[in-house]
Amino acid sequence: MVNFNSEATVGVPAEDVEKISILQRRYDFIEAVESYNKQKFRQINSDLSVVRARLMSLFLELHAMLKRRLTQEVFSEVQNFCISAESFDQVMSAFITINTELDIIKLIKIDSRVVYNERDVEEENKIKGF
Amino acid sequence: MGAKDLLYNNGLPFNGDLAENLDRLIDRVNSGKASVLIIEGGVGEGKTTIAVEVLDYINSKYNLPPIDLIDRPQLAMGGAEFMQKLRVCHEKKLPVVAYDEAGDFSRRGSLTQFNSMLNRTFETFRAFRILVVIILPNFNVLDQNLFDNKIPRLMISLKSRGSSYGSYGGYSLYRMALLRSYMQKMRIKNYAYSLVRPNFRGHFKNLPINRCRDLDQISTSNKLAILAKSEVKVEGLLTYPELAAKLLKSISWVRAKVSELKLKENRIIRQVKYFGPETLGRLSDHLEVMSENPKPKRNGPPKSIMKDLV
Repeated sequence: MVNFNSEATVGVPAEDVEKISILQRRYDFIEAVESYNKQKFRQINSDLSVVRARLMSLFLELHAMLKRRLTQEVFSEVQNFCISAESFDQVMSAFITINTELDIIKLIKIDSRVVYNERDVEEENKIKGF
Repeated sequence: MGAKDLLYNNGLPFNGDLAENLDRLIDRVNSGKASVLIIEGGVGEGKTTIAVEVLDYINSKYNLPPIDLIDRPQLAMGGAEFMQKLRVCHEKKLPVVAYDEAGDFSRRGSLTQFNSMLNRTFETFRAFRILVVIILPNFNVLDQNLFDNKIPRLMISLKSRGSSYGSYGGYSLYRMALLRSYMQKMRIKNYAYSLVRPNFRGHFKNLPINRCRDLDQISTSNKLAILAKSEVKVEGLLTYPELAAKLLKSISWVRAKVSELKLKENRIIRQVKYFGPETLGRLSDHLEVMSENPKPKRNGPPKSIMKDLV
């Protein structure tokens, strides 16, 4: 979690702090899903409480952005699932929508490097702007 | 060695991705964009050999026979021949011309001349749709302006030639720019090649014996011409521009006076006339006589006008 009491945080732009915070909450959610699945595969009774709580935190962090970017219909559905999901499928559906948005805004996009045939000289010249 | 031993499995004297990249260069030239292929390498690495093989390949793409090494309309040895061959290629509709520096760079100021000639060439001949192959020892001598205009598209760098084959690496313009930037920073310029990987590598074989012989003959005759030019420098012989520079007169003035005084040249090498120091002395004396007895200046209007007036 971002430490607001740390001197290192002072002077860091709010946008960067927010990005770290979102990534942290996304990471926590995935960890919770992993724990839930572990229990489930061992056929131990488990509930969605932690997973749902973490999804809700992630939603609260991204609420304004999602409201701005999603259509009214999709946003209502995501909001509904994040706040009062009844099944694991609903949780995952909401998370996938959020995750796709994070990819679109390039927060979690890591495959941005152009893949091309290096042995084709003209293709490289074109891609590198020559 | 049989004809088959001189070809790789792809039916060409070179392997690797060179053929595909040459095809892309041909497409580029056909779309009206000026393009240059650079072939660089040290002495004896096979620059002219691979250049002939590349020219043959490009000719074959246009259903033309291999390049003529006797009249060599597509192979210019030295800057003086280059523009002439380019014109010939345009007239005969040949798709490619090669410029072999052939000792051009051993002269002082030759690099500036060479670069200005290339810049002029690409400003003038772009529409001709002719691919230009430049053969030189190190591509770093080329003007930055050429690279800024994105004209050199592919470079074939040669190294470690064996007895029956040579090795090459192909570099894109992007990688050439990287190499140049490293070369500017480094004291040992060749070290830059260890920092930039080529786009593709390959080998090339020797030409058939008869073509090898023709190529050797071209190379030898060109070197003899260079030797002859060096000899005239040692003997102190002068060309028209050199005489003009020494007399502080124009070249046309020197030409006119040499003809007027019926002075004979000492030697003619490749259509260039060389004069001895005595010619310089005669012209200098003539200049002195002229300055002592200047021509009287004509006053008034020309006679023809006077006649009309009368």
